[in-house]
Parts: sequence; structure tokens; C-alpha cells
Amino acid sequence: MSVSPISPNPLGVGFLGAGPVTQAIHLPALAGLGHLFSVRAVMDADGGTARSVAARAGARPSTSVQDVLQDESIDVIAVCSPHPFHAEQVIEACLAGKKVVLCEKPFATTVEDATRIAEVCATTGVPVLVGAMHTHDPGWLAFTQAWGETAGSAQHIRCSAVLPPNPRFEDFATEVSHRPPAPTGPTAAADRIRDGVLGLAIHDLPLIRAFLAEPGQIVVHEARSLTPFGYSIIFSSAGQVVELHALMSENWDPHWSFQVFAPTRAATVTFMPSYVQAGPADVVIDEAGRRTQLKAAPHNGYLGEWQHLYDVAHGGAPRYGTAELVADLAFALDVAEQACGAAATTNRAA
Amino acid sequence: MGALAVGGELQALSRGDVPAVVASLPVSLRLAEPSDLVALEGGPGWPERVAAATARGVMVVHPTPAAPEAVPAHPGAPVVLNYRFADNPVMPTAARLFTDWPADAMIEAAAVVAQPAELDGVLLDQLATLRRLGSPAVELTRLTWSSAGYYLSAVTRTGVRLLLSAHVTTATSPQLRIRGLAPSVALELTLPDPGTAQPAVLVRTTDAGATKFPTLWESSHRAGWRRLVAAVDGTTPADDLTGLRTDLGLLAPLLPAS
Ligand SMILES: NC(=O)c1ccc[n+]([C@@H]2O[C@H](COP(=O)([O-])OP(=O)(O)OC[C@H]3O[C@@H](n4cnc5c(N)ncnc54)[C@H](O)[C@@H]3O)[C@@H](O)[C@H]2O)c1
Repeated sequence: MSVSPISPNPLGVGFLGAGPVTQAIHLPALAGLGHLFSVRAVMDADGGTARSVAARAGARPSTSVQDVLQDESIDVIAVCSPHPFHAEQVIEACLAGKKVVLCEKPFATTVEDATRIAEVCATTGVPVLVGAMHTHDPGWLAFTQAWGETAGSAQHIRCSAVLPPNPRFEDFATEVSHRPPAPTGPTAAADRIRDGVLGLAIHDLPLIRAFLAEPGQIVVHEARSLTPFGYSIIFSSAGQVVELHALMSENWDPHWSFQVFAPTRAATVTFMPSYVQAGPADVVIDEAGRRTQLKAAPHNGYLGEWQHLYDVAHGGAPRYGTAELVADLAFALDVAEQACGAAATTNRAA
Repeated sequence: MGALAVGGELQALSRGDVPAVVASLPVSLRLAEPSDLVALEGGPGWPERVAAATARGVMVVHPTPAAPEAVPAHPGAPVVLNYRFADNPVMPTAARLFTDWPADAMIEAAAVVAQPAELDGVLLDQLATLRRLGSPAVELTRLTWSSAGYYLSAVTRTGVRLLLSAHVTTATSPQLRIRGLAPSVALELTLPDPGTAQPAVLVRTTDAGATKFPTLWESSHRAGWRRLVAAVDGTTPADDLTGLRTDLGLLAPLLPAS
């Protein structure tokens, strides 16, 4: 990583959306990177949230997207609003000629929107990064480097996330202001599965996609929704099988792992829960009677995201190009869609 | 009662580490012919060989799937099915923890084995493990099956979701990991390969913390022989064949060969 230790001109950052993710994830990460970034404006549709979050970041509050985009002291826009606003705000930020845009996951909610973003990136030359923190976790990056070619290299891929409810971890990272009310989520199993895939599994679907030889050809064998919130989905792609499950429960002991099994080697990457500033992911690779544990740089994907963004703002190539990001989103939407379809039959039969 | 004489098929004696186990139970057992207790290999034809056995007790080492109707309903002597994983001595403790497992929960059973040829046996072992935990599968659906392993989905009588998987790799030692996930409690049980007396790991987690249960440095092979001795001397009957027929009936239509 080629991050300059001291920058005389930190990049100005403007936030669109100042909910728990901005408060608990990005502001604490940026506080540790004060030599690289300076938060200049915090915009939220809710004026009270904007004021209180801006005040703690020493930035100016706003309730207007345009106001932030037109602020010439701002080089980087972080889109942290709810999903439906991501695509439009990313596009506007690119058109406003910012240096880089960081968009929280998901990148967009349709492939069409994602493709539009890619086109605007291409015409404006403004790079976009997606806040999929596992893809920027130093543990994951060290793992893929040690493992070598990923596509088609494992027959079984397993991803399991057993996590307590988010607020528990938000509170380790910050003191949340204006916490949004807990969503009264959809109750139909298929809708719950869609929310689970696009809200939680989305962190790992890019990792899974990296291991698939034919990610465009998936078949979902079973999809179930779990109580109180979670899912269990089994799908295959050209003979490779993926197990994807998550459960949010009162269990205090978080466990978030990504595993691959190949005939003569296997690996487990264990990620930290969301929000906390702990990291990196722990990586264990077993092969031929030898166990290798990788010790990656001591930070998590949130910090990794921002460090990478700094490099990209200074001309570095983005780790994941827009074509990759569109393909990741298309894959996530495909898994969500097919899992919903399978859930309709699986859960009815149950 | 003096030490019971143990003998049996050569392959069973070696697969089941019988000489070492017998040496570790010198008051109860000794290797000798003619034998009181006989070890039979659990490969093809084992039910017929059990039916033909004339010993006072029969040990089936690593049983594999067979036709349910071939399994003797009333064998002449106690029969212990010595599974690699399901016979681990931690099972009674684990079963207590799984009692009344909430219906809105799930249980995963994920096995790691070295060879595709072990898949049929490990599936039977998984079903036996779930049965001994008090959560037997009642509906079993095959999701995927290949030389890389399998995924099967099932439920228990009370509606608990079961996900059974096996992963073929030589990267790590064989094991069976059972994980129960409920809204307010999680149980994780790691059953090691019986090649050594490595203990199982059993951890129960609630919102108050995690409890790790005492380690038992005994292989499933040794625990199985202790069960057979207890069955033969009448202390604790072995009803291993009860339930096995049901499990065999469940999986017969799912095995790739059938
Ligand atoms: N990377 C991660 O670990 C992670 C974790 C959770 C959520 N997320 C993503 O981050 C985003 C934000 O999630 P969140 O949990 O902070 O909160 P949220 O989605 O509940 O709301 C974010 C904030 O946006 C404000 N808002 C609403 N409409 C807006 C608009 N048009 N423009 C600007 N602000 C607007 C709301 O008032 C609220 O304060 C979501 O897209 C979510 O998927 C990422």
C-alpha cells in the first residue's frame, strides 16, 4: 500500500447521509486518518441528524445534496444514504467532478442503475469505490494473494455470519445520534431473504463470486428464512456449491467466516463484526499437513477502504474496476432473485 | 465377570483400532479366540454378517448404508454400531444440551472427510449423531452430491431445520461439526476423527457467556467397546439397531447409486 504518511493537503470529504454507518464506521475510521482526510460537510435529509453529526466531526451541516456537491473544498463524496438514493447521488457526485466517490453497499439496486453509474464514471473519469469492507480487508487481500487464482479453485464455498443485532456494535464504535427506528421488516419469507441477501450477504458475495468459474450460471437448491432474522441458501454454479447463511440473534459471540474446500487444501477467513474498528480478518490455510496463519496489516476493511481511496484520488488504479462492481451487483441481485423464487417453494412446502 | 475375549475380522480390528482399545481396557477385555465379542467391518454385507454372528456381543466398526430390511430385527446378541463420530463419549452430555431445542432454530452438521468413498458412511454417521442428540431427521432432501461432497436438507419431528453437508479434502483431519443456532442459544460440537483420543469440543453460548464442557480424552472406538461391555453384562442395553432402520430408509433413495 502506497499511502503517503503526511499530506500537507488532506482531501476534503463530504457525507451524504449521516446514519449509523457514517457515525460508527466512517467518522471513527477517518479520525485515525486525519493526515489524509478532513471531513468538511455532513449532509442528511434530517436537519437534526446533520447538525449533530457535523458538529462532532467539526464539519458544516447541510440538508442539501447540491450544496455539498458544489462545495469546492470537497474532493471526496461518501454516499451513505439509504439504498434507493445511492445510484442518483453517486452519478451526481461524478458529474460534479469530484476526485473519488465512495458508495456504501449496495452500489445500486438494479443492474441498469449500476450500468448507468459505470457509464458516468467512464465519461467523467471519476472513480467509484464500493464500501464492501470485506473486499478491502487486509486479511482477505493477503488470503487471495497466498491462495493464487481463485476462480474455480474450490468445490465448496461456505459463508456463515452469526451476529448480534447491529446496535450492539455501533455502540462500541460511537455514541449514535438520531438512531433510526428498528425497521419493521417484511414478513414474507421471500422478502426477508431478499433483504438478507442485499443487506448482509452482499458483503461476501463479491468474495464468493471471485471463487466461481461461472458466476453467471447459478441454480438455487434451497432458500430458507431463519428466525429472528437470517437466511440459509444453498446454490451451485457449474458444479461448485455455495452455502450462505446468516443469523442475527441475542448470541453475544459473533462469528463471520468465509471457507473454501478444495481436494488438497482448505481455508477459513474469519472477519470481525461490522462497525467495530477491529481487524484484520484472521486467515488460516491448510494444505499438505501444514497450517498457515496469515498476519495481515493490523486494520480492518473500513480503514483499508479509505486508505485505498486516498491512493485512487492520487491516480492509483482502483482495486475493483466499475465492470467488476457492476458484475458483483448483478451477481448479488441474481442470487437474491433466485433465492426468493426458491424460498417461495421451500418455505411453502415446510 | 472376567475379561471378555475379543476377536473378529482383520479389517475390523485394524479400522477400529481394536488391539489398542482392548489394551486400554485390560480388566474388561482381552484379545483371544474363541471370542465372546466379535468385531465386524461395517462395509457391504455387514447386516448379514451380524445376523450370522454367534458371539455374546457384536461390534460393527464404521457401519455404512445397507438395505433396511437386511438389518436383523432381533439379533441374538447385543449389537453396538461403532460410528466414527456418533460414538464419541461426549454425546450423552451434548444430547442433554440439545433437549427441547427450539423449533425455530437450525442445526448444521458439517463433516470433513478425505475420500469420496467415505461419503455414504459419513452420512449415516451424521444421521446417527443427530438421532443420538435427540434431533433425528425425519425428512431428508438431497440438494447436491458429487465427489466433492454433498448438501442435504432435513427437518426434525419438532420442525427444527437441519442442514447436513460433507466436504471432501485432505487438507485437514476428518471431523464432524454440529452447530445448533437458536435465537438465544448456540451449541457447537466438534467431533474429531477417532484415530487418536483427541477430545471433542462442546461449547454452549448464551447472552450470558459461553460454557466449554469438560474434555474427554477417549476415542469413539474405546467408548463403543465400553458400551458393548455394558450391554453384554446387562448394565445398559444397546438399542443401536432401533432407529438405524429408519435412517437407512431415509437415505436409501438419496444415495447416488440408487
Ligand atoms: N458497510 C457496512 O458495514 C454497512 C453496514 C450497514 C449498512 N450499510 C449501508 O450504509 C447505508 C446507510 O445505512 P445506515 O445504517 O447508516 O442508515 P439508514 O439507511 O437507516 O439511514 C442513513 C441516513 O440517511 C438519511 N437519509 C435519508 N434519505 C436521504 C437522502 N435522500 N439523502 C441523504 N440522506 C438521507 C437518514 O435520515 C439517515 O440518517 C445503507 O445503504 C446500508 O446498506 C453498510
